Amino acid sequence: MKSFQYGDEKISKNQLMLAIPSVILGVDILQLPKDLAVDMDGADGWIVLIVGGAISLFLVWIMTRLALRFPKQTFFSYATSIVSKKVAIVLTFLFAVLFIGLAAFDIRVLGHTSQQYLFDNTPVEVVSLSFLFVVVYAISGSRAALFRLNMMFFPIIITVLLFVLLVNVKWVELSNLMPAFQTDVKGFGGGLKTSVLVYGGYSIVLFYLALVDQPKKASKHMMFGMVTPIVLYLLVYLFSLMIFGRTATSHLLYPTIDLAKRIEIPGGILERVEALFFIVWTMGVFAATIIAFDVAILALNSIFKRMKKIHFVLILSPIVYYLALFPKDISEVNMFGEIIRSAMVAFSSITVVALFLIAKLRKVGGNDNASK
Amino acid sequence: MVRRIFRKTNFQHKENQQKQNTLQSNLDSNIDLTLQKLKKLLDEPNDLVIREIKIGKKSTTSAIIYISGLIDRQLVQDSILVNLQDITTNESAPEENKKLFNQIQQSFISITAVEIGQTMDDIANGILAGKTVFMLDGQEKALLMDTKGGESRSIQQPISETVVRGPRTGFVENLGTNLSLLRRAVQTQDLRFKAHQIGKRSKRSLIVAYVDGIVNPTIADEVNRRIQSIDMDDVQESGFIEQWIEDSFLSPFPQLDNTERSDKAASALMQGKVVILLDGTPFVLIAPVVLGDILKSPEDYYERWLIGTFLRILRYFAAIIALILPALYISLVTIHPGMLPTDLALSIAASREGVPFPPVVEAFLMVITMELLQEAGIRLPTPIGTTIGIVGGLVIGEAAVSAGVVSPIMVIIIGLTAIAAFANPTFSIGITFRIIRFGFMLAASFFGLYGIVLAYIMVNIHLVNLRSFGIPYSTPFSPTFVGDWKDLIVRAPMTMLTERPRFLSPEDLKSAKKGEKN
Amino acid sequence: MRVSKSFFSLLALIMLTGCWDAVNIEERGFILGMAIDLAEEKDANGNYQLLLTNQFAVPSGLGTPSGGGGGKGFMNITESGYSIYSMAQDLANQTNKLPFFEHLKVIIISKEVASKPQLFANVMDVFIRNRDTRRGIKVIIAKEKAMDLLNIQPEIEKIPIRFIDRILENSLKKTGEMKPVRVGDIHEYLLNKSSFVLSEVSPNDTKINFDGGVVYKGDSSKVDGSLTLDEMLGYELIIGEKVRGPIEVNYNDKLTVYSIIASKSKIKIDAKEPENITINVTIELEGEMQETFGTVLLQKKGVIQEIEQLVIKKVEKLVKDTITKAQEELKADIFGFGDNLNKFHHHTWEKVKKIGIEERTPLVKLMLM
Repeated sequence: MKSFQYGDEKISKNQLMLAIPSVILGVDILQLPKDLAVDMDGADGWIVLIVGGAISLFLVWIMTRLALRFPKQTFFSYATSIVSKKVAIVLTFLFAVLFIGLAAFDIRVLGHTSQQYLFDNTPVEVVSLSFLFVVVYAISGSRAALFRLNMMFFPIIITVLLFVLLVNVKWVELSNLMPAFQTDVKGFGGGLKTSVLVYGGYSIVLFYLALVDQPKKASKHMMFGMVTPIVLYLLVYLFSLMIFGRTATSHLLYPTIDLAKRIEIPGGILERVEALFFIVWTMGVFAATIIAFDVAILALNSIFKRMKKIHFVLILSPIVYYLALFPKDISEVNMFGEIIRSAMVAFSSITVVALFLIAKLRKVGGNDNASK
Repeated sequence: MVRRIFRKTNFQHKENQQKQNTLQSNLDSNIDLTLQKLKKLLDEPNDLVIREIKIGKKSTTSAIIYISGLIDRQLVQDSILVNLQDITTNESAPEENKKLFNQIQQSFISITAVEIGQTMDDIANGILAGKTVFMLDGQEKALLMDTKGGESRSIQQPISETVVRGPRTGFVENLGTNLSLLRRAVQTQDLRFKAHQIGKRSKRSLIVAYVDGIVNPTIADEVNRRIQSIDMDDVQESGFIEQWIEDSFLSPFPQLDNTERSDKAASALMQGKVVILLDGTPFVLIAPVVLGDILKSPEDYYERWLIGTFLRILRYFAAIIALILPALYISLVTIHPGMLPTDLALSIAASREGVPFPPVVEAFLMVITMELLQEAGIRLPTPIGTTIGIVGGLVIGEAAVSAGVVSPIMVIIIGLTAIAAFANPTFSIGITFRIIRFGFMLAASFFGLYGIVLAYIMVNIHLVNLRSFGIPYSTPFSPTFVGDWKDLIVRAPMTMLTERPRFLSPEDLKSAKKGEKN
Repeated sequence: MRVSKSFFSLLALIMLTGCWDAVNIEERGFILGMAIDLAEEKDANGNYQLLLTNQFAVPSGLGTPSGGGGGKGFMNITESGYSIYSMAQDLANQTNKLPFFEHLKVIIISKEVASKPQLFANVMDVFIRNRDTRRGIKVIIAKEKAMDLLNIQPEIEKIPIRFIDRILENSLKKTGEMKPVRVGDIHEYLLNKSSFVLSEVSPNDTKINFDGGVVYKGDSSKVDGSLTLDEMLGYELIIGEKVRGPIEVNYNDKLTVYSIIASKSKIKIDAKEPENITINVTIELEGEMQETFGTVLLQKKGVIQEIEQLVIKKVEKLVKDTITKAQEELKADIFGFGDNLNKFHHHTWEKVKKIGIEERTPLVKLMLM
């Protein structure tokens, strides 16, 4: 029987499980089919999606194992005990920087897409600023509330996404999936890179696992949380291909929104359903942004223990805003996103694997005996 | 948590001091002296009745004291006065004072509830609470007999919450009656009434009711703790208590439910909630309340489950309409006309031709007008109130349209919104919706749909941060209690509702055996 | 204090500058249809001068359900220029309303424009790219001047383009005679450089006439050649469009009308030898006898089979004629055989890509259900 404790700020395994797909899906799902279709022939993208997913799953597994060796400890504190305090500070700080970058990227893409699908004249600065204000409002609340918020939005987003796919079933042309296995090695390389990068963001596990009650049993939940985006990516990718064909998919800016564009509600009570889809998606981007932002604050807070959370929020918000508006046009935004995601994936995988191995070798962390 | 401002008066009046001393002093054995003190204390009000009687063989002076409007005259006459006079003629009455007093208490007075008061304070408060006081010369104590009476309303159907099907009993102003209603509805020996006296100057009784063995003790303790912290001069209505003990005074959402219906209070008790009853008001409070509760009505359970479910879904739908319809209108008409079907867009454009105000102003104008109408309709006596509703709704609406001030479609929107706002079971949540609606409209006028979704996110942020007696307000949506979803938007068949709400973590989860129907 | 001050200044900022996109709905000019004509031949810079006619809906002219509303329901404004976008922008100077393209339903392009190499793709580009325009906009080709179609005077509808749109919509859903192509589809065709068929119409006082189809050839990027009504039917049968329509046969010298309820086609390519590719087209039809002139007892044994044979023959001829025309006269792969080959026989496709699929002889086999 669950019971509420007063002022309980623990997060549950399920809540963290849903946070993983939220932060991963974020903005990436909008253009994933396009990125893959550019490199891969036919529907070959599913291979790299699964391979990339498997790599990410493996990394999440290592992260969970690493974090579980030091139950109830923050990343900073166990990194300190594995390596040295100085290195731990650098690592934690870099993570914070990357997550700030991710939050900024999310905000910017949202601003950009809103220009694409909702507004003509409203400047992207204003759209981003208003979004950032709401993000700050959310962050200023309690951390457990963020996860509750994510749990409120996640079902809505998934329902709408699946609904969009379901309605599009009648346009599906299976023949568009052909030809199979015709992609050359170069294409596979590009596709694999894309698919590994779109899964970036799961590093939140490192930071949040310390806050989970009963972390021992969390491992399965983390894996399940990681499987969700793999499945969703596959669905969205395959549907885009089956409906638009490869060539059109690779030319569409945001194929996922274009799927919504196809919907015609019977009876015509509402047209331009993609705008509706987009505003629901705003919630998804919002969930991704608050989690990324919060991880950054959590990381910084573990280094600067004496500062209050609200101070971090006030200091970081202008930085996020500045970063978000830094890229001048869409190609720069994409480049910015690519840099952030590559750095995130590379840095977190290297760090985690290294830390895990060092911890194993030095026999740091209490779980070594338990897990023979 | 509970915020309050202690304001201690620094100056202490001498007279006050004296009064304080008198209140705390014990009774004098000399009855005349005591009576004098009492008169002075209450400033000899007109309705204070002091009836001196000589009783016993020694003709000892005694007195019964009460305030005429607060007691049941017949009761005092039949059960006290007659019996006391009887003592004079009764041979068996003891001579000694003390024995006489005891005898009177035990044998002569035929009143059910009799207490013994020791101080002036006891007596004064007892009299003010409708008790009759008996004093015997030479005794340093007095009998406080519960003869509460006076005019009180009979049990009627509650006006604020009407149901088609279900018991027609509503709470009244009398606490005793209310308790009896609860007792009748919840017939278990585990029903607990925890009594509090609140109000520094004007004392009132307050009862915290819960069912032992179901309620989560943490919640019951928290309610009691918060009530003990109440520090007000006078508590006139349960609303005072609600505002004192709620978690956040900034939130537009009610964190305690209030009801006039005894069946609603009883079902809350059986779910593991706590009910707070205050003397003098028919509105009882139910704590805690969460988002999933505010659109539930007792009637959902009385009707068959399909009907109950349909009504629930209808109410959720109505809530959405009440919140965002005007905002949706603003955003679709000003910012995203592309989302309207072509024919509708053209007909709205045609109907707005010549309307001088932009849709935003138009919408605000009409919403404010509607709020005025509602407020005016409530305050006025019923027949006039209805007239105002019709005059306002029909005449002003029609006139505004034909004068070209607003477009006909706007009138439809506002009408729908107003109806939807009333299609919820509690009055206070309707007001919450009306407040939040303005926020949505404002957001929509800046950013259209994007503004609406931002506002929606903000409402959600507020909800997940809000708590009602420690329980997150967004329960059971998130934190998710899938078990509780059987009775949320869908009201599952009775045979499936075998558990009490899990989010309250009741001590006894099972409320019925599974699948036993016949 | 400081917080509230900054909050209010922010609020003031939003209030003063806000509502960037807010335009009252009655101040927008809803453009429902566009017609694109050629004004002049290529100028010195190699650009064509175009004529863009926009049909605006006039809401007040349409009237409300209560008050009849008089006057014209539409307004045509013609503008000349070199690019669609700049012409559309110039429109704002010609009306008191802000041009609004999100309700654009039909684009009519004159055959003259479509026959110029690359011009069709250039014209379509703005509709594909612009976020205001939808993928569902229907595109048709006008035999003569496109703007004439915007001036027909239908009897029951106040706006000509809405009349045309309804007809196209109905034919899309029900009869399947006219197949307007949607902008979204054109986008895909253009990207794949494939050939496709567009419907051709011409105005007829209060109605529009359906004249068949024109063929857009992917390799030469222009409209070249046309299909007759019968060939259109054959074309639709082959590509497996939803076709519903009558097929008239003579049974015992009496006219008998067979109506198609459902049709299905299956294209199978046998590409074992790249030099000799055979393409099997299987068409399944389901239909019923609608009308018979003369007394034919359908219940009589064998009658149905006989009529069926006639229908098969007729359909076979239709289809064969269409294929022959496509191969020999048009030399265009309008049936998407190449695409099919690419998907299922990728290697062969790589090889024959250069030769051109149009020169292969498909073996057509018919099955009638």
